[in-house]
Amino acid sequence: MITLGVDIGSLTGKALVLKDGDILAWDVILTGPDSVETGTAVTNSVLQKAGLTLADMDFTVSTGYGRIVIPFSDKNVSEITCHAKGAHYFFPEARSILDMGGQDCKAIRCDETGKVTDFAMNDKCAAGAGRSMGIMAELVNVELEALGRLSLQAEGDGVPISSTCVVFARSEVITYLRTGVPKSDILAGACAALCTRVQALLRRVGTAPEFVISGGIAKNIGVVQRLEKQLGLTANIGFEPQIVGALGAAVIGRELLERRGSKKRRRREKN
Amino acid sequence: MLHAGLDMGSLWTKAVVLADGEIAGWHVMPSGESSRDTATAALAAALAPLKAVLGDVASVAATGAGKGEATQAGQANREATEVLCAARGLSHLHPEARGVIEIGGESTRVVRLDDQGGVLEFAKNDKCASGTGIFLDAMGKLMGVELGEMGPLSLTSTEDVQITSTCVVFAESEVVSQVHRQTPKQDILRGIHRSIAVRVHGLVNRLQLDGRTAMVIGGLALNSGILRCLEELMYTPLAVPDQPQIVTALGAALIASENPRGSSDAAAGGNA
Repeated sequence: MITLGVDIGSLTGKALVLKDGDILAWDVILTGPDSVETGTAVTNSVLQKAGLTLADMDFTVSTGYGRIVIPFSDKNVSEITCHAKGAHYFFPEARSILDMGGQDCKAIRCDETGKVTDFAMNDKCAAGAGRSMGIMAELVNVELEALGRLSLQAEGDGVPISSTCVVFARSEVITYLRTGVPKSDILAGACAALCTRVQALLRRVGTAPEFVISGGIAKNIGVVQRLEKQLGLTANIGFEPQIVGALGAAVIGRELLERRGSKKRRRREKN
Repeated sequence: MLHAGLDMGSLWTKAVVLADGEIAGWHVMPSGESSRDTATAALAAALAPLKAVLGDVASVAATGAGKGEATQAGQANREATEVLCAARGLSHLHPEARGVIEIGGESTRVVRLDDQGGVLEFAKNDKCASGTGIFLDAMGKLMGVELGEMGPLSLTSTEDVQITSTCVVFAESEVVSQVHRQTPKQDILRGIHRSIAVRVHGLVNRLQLDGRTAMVIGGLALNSGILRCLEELMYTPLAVPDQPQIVTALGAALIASENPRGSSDAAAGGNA
């Protein structure tokens, strides 16, 4: 049984092929202005990697904010459901998930099957989302990938960023840069500020000891380490945290097919 | 006797000079990198028509985001809060006003006034850029439309475009995708103006301000598109004083003239 998961986020598009429960291939690309094009491009790329075609897919599930427009999808499922399933695939013990993408942040609680039991979400304000880090990286002229590590060179949490709003924080950072504050101190302040927002969200649903971080933010060691310290927990992070949503989508596709199959079987047995 | 008020806003600096209680000069300029230089330049320009210099001024009161820096630099000898200055300035010009809606560069304030023009209650947003002038600035840059043209252009809109994001950062991406879709500029602009007006209206509602007796001040009061959207939301025409940008600086100047010794705000009407 082969299923495809496609996750169209605000900044990146992800696709993953699952065969009999094993990850066959996956890919992450930048989202273009057109969600259909992004979905098609990332799917073509992942199918090529797997040496398969769309016709080989038994079921396709789409998720993410562009999930509704994907033309070759058999079903679209909310990203919260998908992230819980995906995290559960990597870490079956996980009961608590933090997912942060470009434009939103979700704190999710789930049960032993990976089913969502509670969640809280911020998709209103960039201050608690990945985009804030992108903006800071641009301001201090550091690669987004290098930001987290650089922030750890600062002592503690660096300089405080007192504005909540990213637009206002931008002016604050410019003032810091002008007065010669080291980049590492500014980035430490930015990571610490983001952790504060994330913690407020986590508090709303509570955090279980088996804790997973997914989404682009999991690649930011500056945020992950600070959060671990504040929570007193060690975060579980998969080998590719950005594909958790697409993985969850593919897992859900597989589960749906299995359920349908068993229904058919029961019907056959009845007749 | 000369008195002056300085409103050190985040985007614009305003100075007003009073000669024996009457407005004798004023100046509006962009806030520069140094508060001291901007304050000096704004005061000098406002004093120019009187052929006077800073030394001739008996007392200067500063307000706005940079008020602390202005007093530290010695440009002002006392400070007053933005809310109090806005109330004092508006009720001097329009004693009949019972409410102030101030939409500035990085903050929005709404004040309810009593029969004497004193502050009864206020609400403000200085935490989030949505609903403030900097949002409009950012969008104007993005779309290549001059700040002064945005209002009139938005009034020609025929199609409703919804900007659903509250956050300016997210709204930016929304506007970009609208531009890509070749949505007419005027329709996008109207959507942007409406989004700002909705935030301001939230504050207005919180104070249950009556639109018939309130007036709009601050830089965005000069934008006809914002006014139209706010009027639609409040179901009433809204009045704007002449030179709505300098009302708060005028209030500061009045406070300087009433209380030249620099005693506390409490004497001049509470810690609003």
